[in-house]
Amino acid sequence: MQNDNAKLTLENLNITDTKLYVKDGYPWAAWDLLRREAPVFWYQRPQYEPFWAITKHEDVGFISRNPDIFSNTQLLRLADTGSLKIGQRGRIRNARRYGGSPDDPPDFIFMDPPEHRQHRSAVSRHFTPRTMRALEGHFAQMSGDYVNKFADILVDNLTSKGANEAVDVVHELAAKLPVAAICEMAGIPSEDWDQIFSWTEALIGAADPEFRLPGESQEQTLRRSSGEWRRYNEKLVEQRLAEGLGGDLLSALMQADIGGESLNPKEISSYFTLLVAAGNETTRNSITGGIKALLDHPEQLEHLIANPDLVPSAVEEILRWTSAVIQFQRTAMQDVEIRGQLIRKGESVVMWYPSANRDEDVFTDPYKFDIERTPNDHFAFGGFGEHFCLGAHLARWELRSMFTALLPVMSRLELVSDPQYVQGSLHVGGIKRMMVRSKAA
Amino acid sequence: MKVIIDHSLCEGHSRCMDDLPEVFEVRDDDRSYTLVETIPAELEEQVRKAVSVCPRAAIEIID
Repeated sequence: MQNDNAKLTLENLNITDTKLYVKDGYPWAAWDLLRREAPVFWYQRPQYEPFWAITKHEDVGFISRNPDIFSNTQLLRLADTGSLKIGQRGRIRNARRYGGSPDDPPDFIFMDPPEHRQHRSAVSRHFTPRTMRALEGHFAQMSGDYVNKFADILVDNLTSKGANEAVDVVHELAAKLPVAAICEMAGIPSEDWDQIFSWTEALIGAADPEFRLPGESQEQTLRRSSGEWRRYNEKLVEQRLAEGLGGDLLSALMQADIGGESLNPKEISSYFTLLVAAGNETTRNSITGGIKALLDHPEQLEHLIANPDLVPSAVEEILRWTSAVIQFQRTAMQDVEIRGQLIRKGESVVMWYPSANRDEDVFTDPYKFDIERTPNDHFAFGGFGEHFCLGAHLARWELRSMFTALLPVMSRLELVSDPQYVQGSLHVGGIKRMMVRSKAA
Repeated sequence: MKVIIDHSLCEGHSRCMDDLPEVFEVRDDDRSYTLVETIPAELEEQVRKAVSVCPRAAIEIID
């Protein structure tokens, strides 16, 4: 794939240095090499606890289908030892504030079956394909409105400013629908949506100085923004208690019945945080990445504009192509073999989803962006199994409505610069800025 | 061949029904149900495929 492939070896490849992600984007060449030569690879680098790097689609599928062998309760997202320590201190503070133990699962992704199923089912009915399909018309209308506003900015810049100033597609367009959609489901009033987005940026991007206040450390940014978010969250809970519960996600959490028990305030707060943050962060990156993919492949864009009924299929390819989530981690609960390689009880495995989504054993010509790719059983929502993304259909309908609305505008867009990636993120391939402008007539 | 669907996992993604409406039906409770007791031999291969693409890995072949 890349010219420097010759120099790359199993000894020197690096798939964990976030500075490289910011500089070069995803380490495709390293993942290619791993799939080819060492698909189950014991990865040891400074600042990371060693783990098995899993890069093949089939193996990610195997791990995802077997939650009894591969547990979520210990390590969930690969992070450097410094970030893990910050997380651990946060858990200790939370336990002091709410009671319970720092070892309690922070949210239901950190659970295995059967607990995971009980807790997930408290909100899963809000995300089913049927529920999401009912929102299709509403999403279409919101997308249309956001695209119109975005198009107005482009035209204004082209006509009034002379210099045709570039516009950031992340903040002016891509972030809008995902925030609006999850906030509506969560029952968060629209005047607070911008604030919700800022908190999400800070909570997920605290390792990036751009999302900190002057003089703040990563940990201080996390503490400040999670404290503000928690107080806001508590205010919403109080409002529900005073004014009555509704059909929103927070109300669902507040009246959840988990084997005869309700969720405690710590669980309500952390589950709500998970749903709101996960609901707006990943889809925004898929929208931005999808716009880039279509602009980078003008023949595919032209084909899509001529055949808008291909939008659902194009969305699947955008999901595969952009692979917004980089990795999740599991711990082996017993000795187990993958591809003949023994993984011992207690060792950690990390599933690299973008690599699985370029696996040549599953995807013909995987580096071809093909909006008609069939089949397209990508793992953009994680491997199939226990922890498959709860919001997959929410994301799909958002992406379908957004790209349908965008099609008339796309042919006028041009990329001014490559995406700028959020620094320090090894979990979500966050794009913080991507400048576009309207082509001169 | 027989299959069972784990309703503690199934969330009604409908991949099975999309591929094989003669075997699987997703009902109003967002759960998939089998419409036949025993999978007809000529559909076994397609059922194996449906099992492998179920997003929650909720379908199991029992014999």
